[in-house]
Amino acid sequence: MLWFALAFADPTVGDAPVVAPVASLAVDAEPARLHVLTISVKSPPSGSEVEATVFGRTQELADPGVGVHSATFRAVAARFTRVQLTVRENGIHTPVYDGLVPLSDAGEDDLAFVVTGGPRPTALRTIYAPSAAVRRWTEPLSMVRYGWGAILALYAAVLLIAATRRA
Amino acid sequence: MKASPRALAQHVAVFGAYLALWTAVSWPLAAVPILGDRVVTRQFDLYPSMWLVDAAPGTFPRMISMGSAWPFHELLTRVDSYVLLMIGWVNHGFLSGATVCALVAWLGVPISAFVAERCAGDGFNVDRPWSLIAGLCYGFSGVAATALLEGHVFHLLNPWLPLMWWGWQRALTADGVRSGLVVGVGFAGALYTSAYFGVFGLILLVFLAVDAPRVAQRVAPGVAAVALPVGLYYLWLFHLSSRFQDADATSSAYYLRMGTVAASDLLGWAQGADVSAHSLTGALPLMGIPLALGVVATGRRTRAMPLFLALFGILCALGRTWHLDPGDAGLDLPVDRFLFPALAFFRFPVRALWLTGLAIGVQAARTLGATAARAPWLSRGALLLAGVDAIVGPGLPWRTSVAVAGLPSAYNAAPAGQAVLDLWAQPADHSSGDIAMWSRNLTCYYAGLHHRPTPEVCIGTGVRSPREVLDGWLTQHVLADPADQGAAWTLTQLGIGAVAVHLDLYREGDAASLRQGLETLLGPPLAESTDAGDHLVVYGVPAGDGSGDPVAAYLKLTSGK
Repeated sequence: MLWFALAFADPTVGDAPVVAPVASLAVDAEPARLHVLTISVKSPPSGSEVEATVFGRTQELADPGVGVHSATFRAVAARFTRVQLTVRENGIHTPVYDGLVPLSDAGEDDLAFVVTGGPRPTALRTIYAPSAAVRRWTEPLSMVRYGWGAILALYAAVLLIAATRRA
Repeated sequence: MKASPRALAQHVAVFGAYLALWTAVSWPLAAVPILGDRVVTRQFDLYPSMWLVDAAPGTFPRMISMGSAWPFHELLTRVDSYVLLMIGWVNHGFLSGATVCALVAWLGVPISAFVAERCAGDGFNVDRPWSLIAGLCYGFSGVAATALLEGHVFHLLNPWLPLMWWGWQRALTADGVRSGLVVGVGFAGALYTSAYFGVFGLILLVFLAVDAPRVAQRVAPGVAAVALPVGLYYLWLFHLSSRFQDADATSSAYYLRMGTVAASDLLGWAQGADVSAHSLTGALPLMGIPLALGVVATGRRTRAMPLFLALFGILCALGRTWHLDPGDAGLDLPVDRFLFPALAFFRFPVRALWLTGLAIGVQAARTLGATAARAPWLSRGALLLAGVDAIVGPGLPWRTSVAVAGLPSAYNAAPAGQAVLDLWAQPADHSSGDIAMWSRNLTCYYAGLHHRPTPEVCIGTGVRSPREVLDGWLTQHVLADPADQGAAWTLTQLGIGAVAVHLDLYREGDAASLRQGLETLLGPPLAESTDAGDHLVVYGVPAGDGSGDPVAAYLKLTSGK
């Protein structure tokens, strides 16, 4: 049994979006026989309004890791696009996600998603954290959040100490 | 008591400062009234809010929408916000639903922040500018950002909770009954803004009464005089459930899980939430928290009640399974099995953070008021940092997006006065309820603009609407046996004048088959358009002789007889 998790992230916000899992898939197959996964994303065209290009490259399952894949949706006056993620394994397509992604009217929205894989469910979290790709995406923002909170707390402490000393 | 011109000028300046800050962080919200066909939102709940405003003239005060749930009608007693409904009725079509909702969101936050500031300033005797931090912590909170991005604009016009607290504090020095009336008005406003805020108002009252039972005795007559009748009337309205509600424990658990946040979400916004979690984040005021905790160090006579109130809101927001980070496994609360039946009805406990923001804001203002005399420059710096945190924490300048609004022009070809049946693609695996909600909300929004009845149900989440039933029946029919004209006759009997197909969400092959089947059944389309963010094709249904009974036809269709 192999497990995969898909996560969306929006790279329009600097370099450091936080990813959130949106779907997971269990593939009933022998790890050794499953050498390559191709992740594809498609959005049905609506005339010339919505086009999608992509996609994912491969996962070598002998070394389960994380792949960051990206898709670009060209949206002209469209509210959203329907995204279908499919795992293609040895020529067999398995849908793993079917949902809507709201779009801005900026003309083009970038969407990225992270694919993680491993030999068993618990491995997901194991490889989630130390992966270079995920760290690159999540840690800077986390550090900014924690750092900003720490600065404010420190400032408040200085203020309170100063005020009580002068009392 | 009459305010002096100087005090009045100060009030205007404070309100103006909040308005300027909110205009900047929520931009281009303030420009929506002149943008025309654009709205500021990221999720889908703004559309039913706009529908409510557009439909209000015909639904209030009867509380029945004759234009939705065709061929029946829809009871609106579980509407999200009676306040928004009344605003829509007063507006009476003068401004569009999009403009009214934008104005509510734009002015709501500075109004709410101003009243919170007065709660700290007048209620707790904190001088300006130190009381300003209360408005920042309350009005500019993470849940306020979520309300804007989700589309719950009526949440943003929420001066009621601080008004309750302010009235309570005034009872310490002023007439108890009059102050109680103010508290009662605050409770009524909260309850009719949203059932959630009514519950929060009740919780606030309990905390205040436990903390100061003597004050509770003084204000009780005034509070009861207002809160009891409006509360009982609300309960009577609320028990009249819609016939289309289909909520079960499974869907309640789904929404409850979705309506909570992880601990890391309390520190700031996360872009993943906007993509896959309905923009639900709960950034707390990170400058306000240490200041609120520090009120003890200032030597001010204080009580722990506000801190407990803040903690209560945080515990609610974390929900029945605690997560440090949205992606982790989570820890189920041991009391989960006892709490869940009570919480199942309370689907978005993250909204309790409104209480947290208010409690933190008031306490932080008291701290700054105390430190100002001894460390004025450091106190000014803290206030400035709180202002920066109100921008950085919720992250609105980086999160707001402009979406398309307006009516696809093909609707105009549908016969006037007859219902329009909208067809939407169904999700392949039901992994999420979002597609159904997008379909429902947009259908209602469009119906509010084209003024023709729709079989869609516009209030509620766990709903099985006539539109979904008819959509499934007609789609199956035209794909299986489009040459059978019985379906066209049934549509006529149902009072359907046109079928509108939203092609964007169908798979390419499905869309082609559906178009071919509908053309065989109903003939060539009346109109096709790709404006207003939607690829729409409208087919006409043969007109009847007016003798049909739509309700009987619907019941016959659904009973299979």
